[in-house]
Amino acid sequence: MPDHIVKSYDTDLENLRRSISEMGGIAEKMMTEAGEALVRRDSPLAQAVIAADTRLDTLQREIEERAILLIARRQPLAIDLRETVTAIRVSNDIERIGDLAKNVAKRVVAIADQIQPQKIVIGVQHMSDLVQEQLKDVLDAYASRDIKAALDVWERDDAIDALYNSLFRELLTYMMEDPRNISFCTHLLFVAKNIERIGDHTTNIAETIHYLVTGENLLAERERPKNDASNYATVDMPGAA
Amino acid sequence: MNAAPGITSAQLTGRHKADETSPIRIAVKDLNFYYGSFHGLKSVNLNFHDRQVTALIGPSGCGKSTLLRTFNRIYSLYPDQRAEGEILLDGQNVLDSNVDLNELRSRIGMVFQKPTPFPMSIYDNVAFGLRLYEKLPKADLDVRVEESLRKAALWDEVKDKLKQSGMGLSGGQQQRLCIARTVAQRPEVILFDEPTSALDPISTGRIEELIEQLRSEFTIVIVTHNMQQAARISQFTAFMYLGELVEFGPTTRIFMNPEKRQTQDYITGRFG
Amino acid sequence: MDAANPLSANPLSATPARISRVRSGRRIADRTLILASTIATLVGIVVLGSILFMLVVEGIKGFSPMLFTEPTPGPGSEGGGIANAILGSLVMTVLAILVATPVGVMAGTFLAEYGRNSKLADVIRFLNDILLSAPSILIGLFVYTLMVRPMGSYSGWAGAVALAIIATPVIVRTTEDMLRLVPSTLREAGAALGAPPSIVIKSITWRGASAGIVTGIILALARIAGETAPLLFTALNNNSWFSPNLMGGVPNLPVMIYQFALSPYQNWQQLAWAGALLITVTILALSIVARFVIKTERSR
Repeated sequence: MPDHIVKSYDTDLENLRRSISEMGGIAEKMMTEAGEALVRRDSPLAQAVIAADTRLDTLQREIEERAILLIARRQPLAIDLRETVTAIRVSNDIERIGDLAKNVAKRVVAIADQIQPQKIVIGVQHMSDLVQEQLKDVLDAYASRDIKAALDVWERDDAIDALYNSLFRELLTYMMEDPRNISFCTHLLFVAKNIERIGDHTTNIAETIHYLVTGENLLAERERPKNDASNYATVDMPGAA
Repeated sequence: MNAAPGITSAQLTGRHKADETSPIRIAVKDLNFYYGSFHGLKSVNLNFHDRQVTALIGPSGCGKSTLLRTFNRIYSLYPDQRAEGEILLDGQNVLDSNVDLNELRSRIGMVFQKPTPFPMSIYDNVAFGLRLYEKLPKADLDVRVEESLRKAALWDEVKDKLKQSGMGLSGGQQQRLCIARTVAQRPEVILFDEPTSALDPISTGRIEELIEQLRSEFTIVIVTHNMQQAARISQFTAFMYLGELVEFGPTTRIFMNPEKRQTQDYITGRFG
Repeated sequence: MDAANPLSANPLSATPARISRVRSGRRIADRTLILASTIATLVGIVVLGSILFMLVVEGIKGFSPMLFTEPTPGPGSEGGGIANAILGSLVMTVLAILVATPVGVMAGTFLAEYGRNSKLADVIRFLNDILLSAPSILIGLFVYTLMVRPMGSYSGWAGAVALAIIATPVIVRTTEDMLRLVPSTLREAGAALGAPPSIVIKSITWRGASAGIVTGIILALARIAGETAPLLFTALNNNSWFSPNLMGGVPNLPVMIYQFALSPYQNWQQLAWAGALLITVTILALSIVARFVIKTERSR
């Protein structure tokens, strides 16, 4: 795309993009480290994740301010307007992802001193890995304006929801097997829920990328894949049947 | 964000929604225009819908004013300008040589870039067009003048000084006087040639509000350099470049998601 | 660095050692030019002022009620006024303007509105410019051949025609110029309402240019009020009242001044001064009126 006649306009938009990619980097790192901390029950690492969230909040506020200022001063149209609105939306999603990663880290701190069989964590760890990949892919898609990659992420959310579902049942089962697991597993349930919601935010971002590139709302075209049935999930008490 | 049930996004866009089912008031077919040997318009095909505001945008010299000036054949004041093709106004080709120019121009009003009050009283300015073809008794003339000034949202400001010169009004008032003068003839179409480019933002706002109201009665075509203005007041937008029509469509689409690369580059300020 | 250098007002350039950006040579040239033009202006004003001063001093002596009531005295006779010359000038000037105004305004309108850039208009414009700068004695001779010789007598009619020929190109030129100053969008606006060209001209452009056209007529009036040469061959002069049919010599101020000023009689010379002052004051008054008309138009 050719440059704007007003050069500082390009600089403004470029700065927005750069700040978002910085936010993306931080969120990815938080997410990865929260996952590692969970696996290793690494409290200091979890504390670091919690601390990193402040920077994300600051960046998000900055982006929002700069985007609003850009709208006020330059009255962007067409692709520029979509770019600006996208910056606000994506930065919001990443900020929420940061919050959720922080929540995961908090849970990790809470369960750090508990010794439980590692197999209980494996499911959550797997889900965390999947969502990390989603996040990485969607941020790449944003950076390269790759609508195909974005749609790919959007469609994969299905799998994560399914995984969360089965994880929910699995954790309930552990709790019923041994009541000593209840506290630990409850924390893990929240961790899993947080990770699942991070996945939702990556789909949000994917939708925003679709809007940015095509100007069309993705939701107007297709139904969002939703496979989260945990609201209705129950597990029968062993022996009750 | 989901709209409340039953409300479509089209309704949310409100008055800016283009009504593509509205009948076609002016149909431009294969229109070519020449300034001497210069080819000013190149095979333009375009429809203007009834009671809709259509904005013509594009860089200087792209032909948007030229296109506007073919509708009432005002270009024919200048001997070396000529148009070829068809401009159908209610089915009749206005470019036909047997069209009565003065009658045509009383059906298609025009408001210019700079306010053009005539050197006469406010009353006489508005009555000018009426006196040309309608022999109205004084009382009827008074009624029509008042009605037109009201439609142009100027009545309250000038009702006590109708006998004063129209040149004594402010720029924005002069422009509304010109609109009143045009409206008085009860035309079918009103052409606006950059009507606010010489006005301050407040006067501009008044004119824009006025155009919005006039839309319920008239088909409006406006040439503007101000893209935000086109986005604000029009239902349809045509982007022209180098004498050609590049893209035409509902204003919301042109400004949010144009199809053509050139349109996008122009409206986002990327033109080289 | 001195006050003449606007850069010195910049607080950032307060360093005393700073070198002025204006080269001294350029400043000298600048001042020399200002000095030269001031001197030239002063010379002009002094010359003009002394002419006026002499005119007022000498002319005022001849002013008396008799000046406006008595006809010019015969050779050697005492007293007398210039009433006949004033009236003759008035009649011929008014007649000339009455002829020149419609012709000039219509021709100017043709050039500005209809002819514009056509070949015919170019030719007319060129001829008009020649007429505008033609020596007025030539026009006197022309009318002499055209009217005085065939009719066998000098006449006020011939004088009026000669003056009209001088006034017309002035009016043509100013009318055209003034009409051209009316913005073409005003004409377009008129046409866009469906007004035919005749109505656009009558109700819009003429009105828009009215002050300018009137000014042009006044200036033409001032111009012919003081013309001598064309009258020498046409109206000549007469030392008594002229006949109501304007045949024979018709007295008029310029030729009266010309003849009386060169005469040996003291009272004639005095009357010439008074006449000259009268003409000057009239022309001055007309010019002031013309300026006033333009000013009120602009402030509208």
